[in-house]
Amino acid sequence: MTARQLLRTARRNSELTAGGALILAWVAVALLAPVIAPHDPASTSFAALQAPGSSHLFGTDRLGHDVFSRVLYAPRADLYLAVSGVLLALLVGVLIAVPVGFTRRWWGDVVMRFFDGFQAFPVLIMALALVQALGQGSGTIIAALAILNVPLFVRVVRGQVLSLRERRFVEAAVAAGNPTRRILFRHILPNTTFPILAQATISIAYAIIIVAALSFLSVGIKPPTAEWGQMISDGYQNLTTGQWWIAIFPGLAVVTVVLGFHLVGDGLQRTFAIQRRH
Amino acid sequence: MSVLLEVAGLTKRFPVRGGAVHAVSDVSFTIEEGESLGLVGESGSGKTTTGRCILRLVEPTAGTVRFRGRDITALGRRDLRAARADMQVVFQEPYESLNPRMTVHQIVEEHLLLHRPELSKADRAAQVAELLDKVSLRSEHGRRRPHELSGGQQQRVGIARAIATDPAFLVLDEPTSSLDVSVRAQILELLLGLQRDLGLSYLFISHDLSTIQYSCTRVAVMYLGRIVEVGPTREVFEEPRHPYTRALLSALLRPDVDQSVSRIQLEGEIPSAITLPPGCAFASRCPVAIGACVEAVPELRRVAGDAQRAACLRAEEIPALMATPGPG
Repeated sequence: MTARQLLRTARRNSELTAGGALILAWVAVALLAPVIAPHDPASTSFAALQAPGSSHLFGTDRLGHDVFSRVLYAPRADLYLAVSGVLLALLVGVLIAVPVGFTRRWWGDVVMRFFDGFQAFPVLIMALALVQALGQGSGTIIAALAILNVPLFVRVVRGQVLSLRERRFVEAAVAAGNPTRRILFRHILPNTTFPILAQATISIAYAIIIVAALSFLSVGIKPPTAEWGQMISDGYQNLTTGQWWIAIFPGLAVVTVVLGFHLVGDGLQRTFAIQRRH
Repeated sequence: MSVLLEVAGLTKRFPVRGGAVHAVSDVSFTIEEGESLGLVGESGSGKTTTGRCILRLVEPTAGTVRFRGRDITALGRRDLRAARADMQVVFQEPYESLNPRMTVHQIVEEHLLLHRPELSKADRAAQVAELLDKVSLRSEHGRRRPHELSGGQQQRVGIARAIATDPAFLVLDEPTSSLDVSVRAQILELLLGLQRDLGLSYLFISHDLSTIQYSCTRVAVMYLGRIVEVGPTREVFEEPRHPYTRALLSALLRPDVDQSVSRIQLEGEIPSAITLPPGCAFASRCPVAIGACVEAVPELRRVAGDAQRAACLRAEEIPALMATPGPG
């Protein structure tokens, strides 16, 4: 799909446009955080628990961090981890699913039953277990996200391949004398991009929540790195004592970025459905 | 002329719950260099499966396909891929058979990429332009994707890629049936012109008798997976020797409304392709069937002229027994 087609699609699809704008805004914030953040996110040199005001837009927390600066720096951790984990899952998932979907032999089913079993575990429990097993750190979080998401990509891509392999143009590719590898990656895979993208955006939305949840449970990103889940975890006890700003602002940040990815995912699915009808 | 393609005892059964669908049973025929053999029959008669088996797009259950003397059914994967340069296919649904993500140029170029690795990118581009010209497409069509073309143009792309590697033999699987009537004749003319210019041999699969009559020198008629009659098109159309061929031809609309044509109305059930009867598969619908017909499958045997053969016990009596489909 060319950039022009993407733009044309975006104009007709308000979900895609709104979601894309939210994501782009957060990516820009992450990239420009050192420029737009008023303070060092790790600095604790301010008076603790100040209410939002002119000197601290989102107030300060118990340790004297500037909440606004930390909210702006956090996507550098949250987005980075979520996107890396999901892209890794996408890559591995596609490499597994394309041959599994194409083959008519017994091992395709065996692989699928394996992933079925895998998915029987609740996501967060699985993530916790993986982090426990692999040890705390960003590499671990990325690996855990990848492992959690591989079965989803395998399922989506295999479903696509199952229907594509019966299409006449695939038979034409066989008749042309294509080797199987080229049929898989030149003829079948490019026709699965929409569903893969849709799955990727939805997976990223969930991955952001998982990253935040792991930090909330103190097994994710270690302080003082700015991270939304960590900030919510720090601030939620103060909700009852009136210092709402410490947890609410990072919470809103998570809500908007997750919403952005969900909107894009839904928008892509709708575009795909329309395209299929033509 | 010499024999290009020799099909012998071709059989394809698709396993299903509780048995198998007998799609193609013991089909044999030959195609000579530069010849077109028409393969006609109603849907489900196995004509498309026959074409696919010859190209090994489906694996035949039994039988051999010799192309220039070499048994195609015995080739390994690598040899089979290489052999595909010489035997190509044009599909019925042009849009469905073109990859929606590839441009016309990429679609045609792929065949050169696979079979002429020695060509440079510029050489390939020049050949693609030449091929598009051969099928009367302009070079700017190369940048388009299949959905941007009309049905006729899509089929021209399908033909351009089929002849890209300079094959000797094409399976034409109903190449005109899904097209608008207005462009059918153009595509048919294009195919016949290419055959003359390039010396191609065709297996022309169609349910449309007038297309076959117009374009093929010989015709084979299939019924429930078997060839029931085969011979020179003119002889088979003028004096069919199998009752099924006769019924098929009587259904053909003729341009002259004054001619009184007696249609042969077939009655009776078509047998299931899963449980074929022991005798002639057509016997249950045949107006002239006799007791012996249900006992054994009649052999395809010479009945008239040099080359007209029919699988009917009463082939010699058929012209007298059944109303002539032609004028009269």
